[in-house]
Amino acid sequence: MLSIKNLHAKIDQKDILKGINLEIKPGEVHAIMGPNGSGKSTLASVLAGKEQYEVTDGTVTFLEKNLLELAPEERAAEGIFLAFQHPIEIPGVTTTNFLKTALNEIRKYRGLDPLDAVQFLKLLKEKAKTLQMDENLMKRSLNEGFSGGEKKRNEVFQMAMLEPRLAVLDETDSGLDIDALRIVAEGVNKLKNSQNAFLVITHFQRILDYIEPDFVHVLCDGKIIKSGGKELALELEEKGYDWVKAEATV
Amino acid sequence: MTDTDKSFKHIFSSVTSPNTAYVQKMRESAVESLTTLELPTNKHEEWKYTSLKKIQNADYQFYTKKEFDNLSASFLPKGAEDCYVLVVVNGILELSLSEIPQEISILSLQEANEKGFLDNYFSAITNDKNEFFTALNTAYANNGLYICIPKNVVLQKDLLICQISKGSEQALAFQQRNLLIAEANSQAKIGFLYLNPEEKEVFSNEVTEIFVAANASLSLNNIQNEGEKNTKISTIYAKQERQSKLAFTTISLSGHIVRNNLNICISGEYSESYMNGLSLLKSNTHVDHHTLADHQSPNSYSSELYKGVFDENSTGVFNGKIYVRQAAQKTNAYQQNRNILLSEQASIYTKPQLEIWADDVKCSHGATTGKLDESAIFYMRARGISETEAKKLLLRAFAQEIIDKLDMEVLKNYLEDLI
Repeated sequence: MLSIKNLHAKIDQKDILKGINLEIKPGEVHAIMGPNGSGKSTLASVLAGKEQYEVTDGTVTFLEKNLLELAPEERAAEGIFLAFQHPIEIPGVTTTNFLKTALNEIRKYRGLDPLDAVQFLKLLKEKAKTLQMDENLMKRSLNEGFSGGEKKRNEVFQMAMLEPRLAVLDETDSGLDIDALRIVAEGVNKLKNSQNAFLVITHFQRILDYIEPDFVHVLCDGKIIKSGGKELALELEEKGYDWVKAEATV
Repeated sequence: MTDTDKSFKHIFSSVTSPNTAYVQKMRESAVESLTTLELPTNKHEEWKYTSLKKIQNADYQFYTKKEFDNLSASFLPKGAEDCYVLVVVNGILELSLSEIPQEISILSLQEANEKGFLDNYFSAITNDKNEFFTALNTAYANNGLYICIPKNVVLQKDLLICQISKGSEQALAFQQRNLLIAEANSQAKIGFLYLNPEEKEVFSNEVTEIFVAANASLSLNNIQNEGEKNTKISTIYAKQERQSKLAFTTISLSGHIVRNNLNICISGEYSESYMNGLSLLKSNTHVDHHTLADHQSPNSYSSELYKGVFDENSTGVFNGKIYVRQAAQKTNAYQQNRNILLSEQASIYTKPQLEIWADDVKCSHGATTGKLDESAIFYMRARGISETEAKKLLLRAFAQEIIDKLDMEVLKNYLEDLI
């Protein structure tokens, strides 16, 4: 589904990603862990198409397409979803209106008829129920005045509405207390199926107790220096990152 | 005195109509002021960013008579049938296209003058001494509207006034003078829709005096959409008595040069005043808002929010003053100006001003100018929304706050269809 080969990227003349290789297949959950400044969020931003980042080398193929040639909105329409580390507040645009526009733009890209107001609201209610989202939140301006937990839940809710093929969760766990984390993780688990895939970017192992990864990768100084199964996450939690770094330099 | 001053005085003084002794006195006093007042230039602090040079060389012809026979009401917006409608063409009330409500009094300015209805009101609160265009209007304007909402009357339908500018082969100039009286306990919603359907070159100088008596409530909604060949100086002087409420919302969509002066004298206690504005401009249009909330009595409230979105080569000016006089203790006064610039060539000059002589007040003011939020655009694009659509949504959200303040469905719908 997603194939990253030798990906290099920089921002403001500073090299951040220095040769990433990663293969993700449908039905898989991958976790990327790593210390601060290792390039985790950069990887998420590059996949979503943030223009401040310049890809200097390597390829990213998503469902047979060259992802790097696509605009952010085209990537979203192809099925990439980035759950933001810091969701943006947009005063004056309600979550409902925002999602309706997004969903219909994606449908247009895929050659489908737009959903009318009735169909859309039906879908909205359905998904809200599954994820136990308060419908009143959707009538409010997008993320405006939302608590940290509400914002992250809203990200997962948007994910549920847009049904991406690959969801990238950029430190979705940061700043969440344990209850909020559990709710967010449950939401993700409900959306998981054999056709889609998740890339969970995190600093802490904690979220992986709830969203069980098939693969864990350690990102350090712009490169994946170790990959393993879910037990690697526990080991990192226990021993920190230094031993992996030491191992990698040997 | 420059040639332009002379020419304006010349073209506007060419026609006279009978006045009562009271009005005659006011007119003479304004003529007197005009001997020293001149067309303001950029050296004048209040006209620093709005240059009238462009109009100086235009060869205006004064609009005197009804030159247009076949007026059709095709410019009426959808939903106008639910309102009382007045049609005013180049300052002159067109009775054939108007529906005069029975419960209030509406006359042409001349007729009101003949009946003595202007006495004690005309020029009572205008600044003829210092303002060139106001003095010019007081001296010579003899067309316009007289509207009086009598005591205890609640206007049953919204009053929509279509202000049509109509030019001819030559550039036309006209003046309009309005007197609007809301007597004690009365209530009305009035909308002014300014249009120039043929987009010919027109200059207008309009002055409106508004008297809001105790416990009266008046909502005034203006949409200025007269195209790019229209030059307009609009000056409003309003005075509020005790416990009255006055709300202005002005939406400006175009104009070669548009200067809006809005002066509210809050002279009665426990009054509420609202001033809201939205400029949505592109190409070479220029809209200038000068506002004044003058708190003269205690316990009054004023709230002002002006927003602007400026694209291409357009220019906006905002100059908002709040005065809180020494007697006006416990005043609450708020003022905000927020702007978005969409192009490198667009500009906004903003100057919020606060002058307070009382010591027990709550006041705030501020101005912001910026571009569209790039992170918000990326967030939307990452959800599949195209860049164009994302910008549209953000601008719409920005503007909506003011659009929501329009108090008349007919104008709201007109705007919704337009943007």
